[in-house]
Amino acid sequence: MAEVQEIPATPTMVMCGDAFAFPQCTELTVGPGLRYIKNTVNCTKPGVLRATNKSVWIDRNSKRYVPVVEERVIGIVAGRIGEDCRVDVGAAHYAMLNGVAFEGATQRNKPDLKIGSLVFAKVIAANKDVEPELSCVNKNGKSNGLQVLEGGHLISCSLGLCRKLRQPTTPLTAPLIAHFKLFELVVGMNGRVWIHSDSVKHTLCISMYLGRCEYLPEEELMPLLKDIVKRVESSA
Amino acid sequence: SSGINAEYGDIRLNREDPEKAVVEATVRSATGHGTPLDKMYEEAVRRVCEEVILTTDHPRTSFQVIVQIEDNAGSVLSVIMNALCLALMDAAVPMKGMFGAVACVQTEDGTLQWDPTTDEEAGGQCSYLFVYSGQDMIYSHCTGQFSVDQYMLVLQKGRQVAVDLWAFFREAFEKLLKKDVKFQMLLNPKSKLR
Repeated sequence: MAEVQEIPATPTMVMCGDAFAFPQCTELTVGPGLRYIKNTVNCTKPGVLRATNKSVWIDRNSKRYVPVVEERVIGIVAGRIGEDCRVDVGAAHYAMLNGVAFEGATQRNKPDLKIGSLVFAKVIAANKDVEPELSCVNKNGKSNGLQVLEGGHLISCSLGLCRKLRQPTTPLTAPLIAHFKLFELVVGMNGRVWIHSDSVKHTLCISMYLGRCEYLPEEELMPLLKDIVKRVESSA
Repeated sequence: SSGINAEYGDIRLNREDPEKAVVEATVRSATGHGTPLDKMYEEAVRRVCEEVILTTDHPRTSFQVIVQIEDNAGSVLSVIMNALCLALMDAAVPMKGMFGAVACVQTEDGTLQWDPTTDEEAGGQCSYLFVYSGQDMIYSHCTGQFSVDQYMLVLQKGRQVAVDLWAFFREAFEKLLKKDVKFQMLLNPKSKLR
């Protein structure tokens, strides 16, 4: 049996089945892509193993979303069961969203969720055995940006791109901010991005840009956007 | 031999298993209608997947695996299995470990031919196919007459071949990861991000 190493301090590439010794006398959160078995941390997905003082996880891009509590996702309403809505979040099962789980909503005064409408909601329950549950309010009854999304355009992308876009210091959105005066992006952790801007052409440019920007280095992002804008303007 | 593997998971299924995910496999050969051999390959793929994928983490769902054999020039099942491992890794399906298939044919005079072509398969006295995962062998398909000692010898040698296979998977996966600028920076020893 190969000797089990310590968790490396610098990011390293790991394969499924690689095992690392769990450090003694510390509290460490074992994150996605890892299993804790008999005092060792086993990798269940290939990727880059990253560790901080408090947690260790596997960094990996993928497309299929698995609901996790506290994540904000964009869902598409697929039906109603009584007071609840069935919402498609791109996972294996539909999620349930209570019709009254919106800021300021009561039984008599609640948003009209038609089939096909988009909702930006937070996952409040995500057990593997049951349907996940969503909500558009926090414990204090405040929405903090969670709401029904009207108009706009929804695109699908990989989970890695969504995580990158959600970082405040990402270079991916800098060209968009420099070029377009008025636009709105809502990024769900489930691989969906909602784009809303003042014209259809701008929305088209932004969605084409987001589809292609993921693997490009920073210096190629602005030329990509300029190229897309030129092509959309000339084809109109 | 070559093939294309695709994996779709985890998806909703009508016939749910409340305790774990169900693996559905489809194998299509390059030409012709489905034969019993394709069914046997499907069963092999399904069994290996159920062994390796962490199905209990995704109850009431299904992982669908689709294999299209493009070209059959011998040792097809081992090619399918290895491509399957790469497909599951690419799809980020949670697995207990990597697995690798090794095919071997033993001729009349006892020499072992690894990854046999169709002719070598036809001419051999017995053939072995072993799928290894970690320290264990998780699937085997052997035909012909052989002794227990011969079997154990091939089993042992085959595992060393599997280890080389896994080194290749590692290299291939690293190339895939490094297409992304973020991982390039993370894995680069001189980068500031580390």
